[in-house]
Amino acid sequence: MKRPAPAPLPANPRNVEPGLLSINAIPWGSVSLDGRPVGNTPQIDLPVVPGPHRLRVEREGYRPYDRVIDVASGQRLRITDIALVER
Amino acid sequence: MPRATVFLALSLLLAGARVSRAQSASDLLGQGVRAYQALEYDAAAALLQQSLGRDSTTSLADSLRARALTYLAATELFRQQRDSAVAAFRQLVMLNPRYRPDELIFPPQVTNLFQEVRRATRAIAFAVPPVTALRTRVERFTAGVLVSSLADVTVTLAREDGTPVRTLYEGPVADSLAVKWDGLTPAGTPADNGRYVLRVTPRTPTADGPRARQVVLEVKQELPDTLSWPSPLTTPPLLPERTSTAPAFRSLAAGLATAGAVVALPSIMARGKDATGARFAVGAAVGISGFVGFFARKPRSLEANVRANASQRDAWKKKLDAVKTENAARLRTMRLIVRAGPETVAERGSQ
Repeated sequence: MKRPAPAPLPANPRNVEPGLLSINAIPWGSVSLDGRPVGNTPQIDLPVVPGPHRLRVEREGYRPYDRVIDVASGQRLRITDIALVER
Repeated sequence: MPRATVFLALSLLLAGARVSRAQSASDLLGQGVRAYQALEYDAAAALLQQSLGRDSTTSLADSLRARALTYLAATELFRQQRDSAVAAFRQLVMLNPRYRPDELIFPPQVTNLFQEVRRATRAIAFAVPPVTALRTRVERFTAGVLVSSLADVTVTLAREDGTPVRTLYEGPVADSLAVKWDGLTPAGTPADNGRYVLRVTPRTPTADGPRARQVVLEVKQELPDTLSWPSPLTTPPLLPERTSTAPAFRSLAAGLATAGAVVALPSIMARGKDATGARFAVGAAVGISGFVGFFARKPRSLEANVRANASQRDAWKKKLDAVKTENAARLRTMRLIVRAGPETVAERGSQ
């Protein structure tokens, strides 16, 4: 299966190990990270630069899930209990 | 310990084990779904495969089996096992050609693969109610024929020994079709008690085409209820058709009693006196008047009542005829109980 391209990592002069982000939601939705679309849920082990990021999961007819998350270097962060609620 | 107690304990133990195994199949499915949602795909695949692998006595119901296969296919897809995902979806289409994964739960990459498999997998299935009670001629037994893609099929009903009973449908099915049977044989009589085979067969079988499917139907006749006859007419409500005989007999009795008194009383009341012979003439005259009275008051026909009764009798006869007709009709429309067994793949070559 062709996985959607992850959000490109910005230049990282200090060569810091990225965090890995996994996202799932019911119903499925479109994921964007820092305003950049990365594909539909589920997203598994998406490499992200350590630090705060704005995570948004949205779907037509549902209230979006919108949070700022903090990913540490080398951390595997999993957010799999997102339940989108109808508008 | 008495033998009966041991037997009871063993029975309870076996029953308990059976229940727990039955529960575990759906429990495994629930755990598999939770693991899928938590993105634990390896665990999800193992749990879902286990839930599907239970033996026939504890296996999942078809609706749960379809759910398990859908989650398994999605799981396999997300853990990069596309062939396994295709295999699971193919099983799903064979199980229920009309099933569709929930588009709220599963993202397009899953539902698109399912549609691809569905188009490539030509499957036929029956949807038959487990029990149908019908009155022949009046009501119908209905079976759904489901196909994954356009198929040209023949739906037949035969005795278990292969004797054909009816061809219920011949032609194309795009998605689903309801075939109906009125419970009758070609001779127009209600089907006898026994086992019948309902079969859907592709009209042009091919090696890679859909397999014929069949369901065994257990048919049992039940005699219908009939109406009781109307109660016979009595008086009342029937009216008397002749006047009473009592006044005539009263006149006769009075005449005869008086005549007897005329003849007998003088000799009783005046013993030793000569009674004249004239009393016999008087007695005879009185007796004759009694007979005259009897004939004058003899019963006669009451024409108005006779006419009223005739009309009541006609109405009663009509009621009786209506009941007889209704009962004959009910006996012609036999009640059938049709119990359907599980759907199976028909042997190749069996028609």
